[in-house]
Amino acid sequence: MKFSKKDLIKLYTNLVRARTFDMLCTRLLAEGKFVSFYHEGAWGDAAGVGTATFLRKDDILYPHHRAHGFPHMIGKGVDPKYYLAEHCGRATGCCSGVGTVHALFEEYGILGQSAILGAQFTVSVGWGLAAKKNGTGQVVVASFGDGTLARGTWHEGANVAVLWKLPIVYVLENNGIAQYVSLEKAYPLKDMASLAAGYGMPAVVVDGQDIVAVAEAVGEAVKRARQGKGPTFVECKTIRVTSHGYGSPHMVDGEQRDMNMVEELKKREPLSMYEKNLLKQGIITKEDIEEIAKAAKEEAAAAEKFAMESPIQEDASILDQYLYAE
Amino acid sequence: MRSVGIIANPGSGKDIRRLIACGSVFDNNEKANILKRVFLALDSFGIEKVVIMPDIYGIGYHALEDLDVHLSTVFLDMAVEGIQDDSTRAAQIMADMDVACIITLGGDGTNRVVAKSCGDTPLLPISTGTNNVFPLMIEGTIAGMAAGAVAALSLKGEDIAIRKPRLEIYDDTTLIDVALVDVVVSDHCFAGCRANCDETSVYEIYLTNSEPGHIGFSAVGAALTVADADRGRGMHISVGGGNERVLAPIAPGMMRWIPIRSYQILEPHKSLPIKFAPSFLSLDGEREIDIGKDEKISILLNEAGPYVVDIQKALLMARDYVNRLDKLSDLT
Ligand SMILES: Cc1ncc(C[n+]2csc(CCOP(=O)(O)OP(=O)(O)O)c2C)c(N)n1
Ligand SMILES: [Mg+2]
Repeated sequence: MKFSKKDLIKLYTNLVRARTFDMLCTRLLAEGKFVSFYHEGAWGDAAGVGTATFLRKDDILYPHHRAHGFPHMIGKGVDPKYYLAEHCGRATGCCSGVGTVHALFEEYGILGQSAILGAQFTVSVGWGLAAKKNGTGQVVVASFGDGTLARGTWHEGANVAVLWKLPIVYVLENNGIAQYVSLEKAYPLKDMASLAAGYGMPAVVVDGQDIVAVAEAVGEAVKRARQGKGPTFVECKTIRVTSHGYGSPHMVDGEQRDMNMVEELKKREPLSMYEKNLLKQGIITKEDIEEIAKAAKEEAAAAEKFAMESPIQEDASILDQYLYAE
Repeated sequence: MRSVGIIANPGSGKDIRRLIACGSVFDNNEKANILKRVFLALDSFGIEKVVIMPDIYGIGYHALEDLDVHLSTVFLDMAVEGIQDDSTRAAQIMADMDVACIITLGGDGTNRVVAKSCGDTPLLPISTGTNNVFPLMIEGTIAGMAAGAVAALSLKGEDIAIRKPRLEIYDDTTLIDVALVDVVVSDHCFAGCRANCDETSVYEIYLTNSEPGHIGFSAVGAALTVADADRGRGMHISVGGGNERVLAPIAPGMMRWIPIRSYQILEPHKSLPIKFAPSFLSLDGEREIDIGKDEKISILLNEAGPYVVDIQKALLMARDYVNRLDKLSDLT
């Protein structure tokens, strides 16, 4: 799969925007402006942006909880200010300020999330079945982490997805850690792609720090799904350089994380690696980079202003409206 | 008695060709199983020591789990980063230790990085990748027997191995990389998923040889009508335009018509400059080197590449060795 110059710049721009929002979210949480928590995603953000940037607007996306799905939603084309306002409990948020970390953007195929990890595996089967029956050509993309894959729902979903040849792309962002537990302590294998292969699902392992590799692999998987060839599993090897959630202990397997190792991981920072290649290939200039960074900062500042100036949601009956249909 | 080296690549057999070319995932537990069979065969030959590259999955550790063997195993004391360079560094250490041979588990790419530093140490490459030309589809037990003979009889160089050519990539006058099968110049601008299966992107192909039976862009060489005497020789093919086209398997299950502008036998030690820049070089099937506008990259065929164990010869020697051992034990 080859990308045009425009596509490559779009990937870069979305990655810069996702990174800028990650920094903004971290700051707003630290300043006490969030009603929720925040799971930082910097350095592990290429997988989400690479996954979502070339999806169709009506494709269905279940974003990852890491970076609260900002990279995925920015990639999909969602205006992140409504999701930011949601985190701040504002009435202008995408769930009217009562959903905190939950995203809902129906017109962009983001149909809700659950705090219960692993829900994506089973709801995506329903969405995939609907897409197939309706003949819309829509594809369902479910993003999740290595810890999430340990849920039994994965096996239930994968089994039926293959059996019924559903148009689903499973994108694992394998950062080798789930909250405070390392992959080594959780699985007898390292490449989760083998689990998908066990169901006869085509599976591929890519460098999740290489945004082009992710976009290429997900692009091929989406193509298969649209052609009616069934589900695909894309395993992106990525990293987590922060603690699990902002302010939580930076521990693994009962001990402090080895910060020398974390520094080693940081060498694979995806934005600067991509930027270097784009410059070498003459696809962008230093001036383009400055311009993109400036635009992202302005977008983030405007989103912050929007959220802060929006009224705090104080009408509890909103919850009823979300819970009960007429 | 000399020892045997083992380099098993945990990353092989999982790339994008599983989506676009009907490849299947090569699970690391299966690589560990193959190694178990290698160890058992080596042990039956009385091999005393095996030197293993540690890897991020721990293929060697898993292979030794619950395995009843007498031979001793040593894991190299080296940092493991989960990158290609692990294999290159391990091969260098094993060559310095003068192991009798190095058994590799991987594909063309794995052997390429091992061959960068193994010197004259013969390789015994077991295929656990996707589009493989260089490594052999060989049962682990048989590979173990062949390696056992090489180590037990301390066989070296031409006595037991065949020297394979390599393509050398130069940046100006500096050797920057090597390939064992092919170098493909394409209009890609990123390594991306690395595997290159897009025939529309290709400008040129350089081959170490054009023998039939290859898969990947090197199969284009065998599809061209060259004299049989030239089959074992290197080749340079310009792709696109022209009047000729050939049907070639460029990846598993991917039969493609490739338009040919021109082709020529590639003479050893004659440097050919890459004329396309910016462009990307795929080495043995994987996008590896991006060429910037002003870079002067050239390709040279060198007949003195890595030694590869001649399996048939090694197995015949293994037979004689075992028979001799057996007779000796009758006497005692
Ligand atoms: C069913 C369930 N169990 C536990 C949790 C608490 N929890 C939230 S995030 C998380 C870690 C998930 O790890 P992983 O899927 O690897 O994603 P990562 O955070 O590493 O990106 C856990 C255990 C939850 N939300 N749902
Ligand atoms: Mg994780």
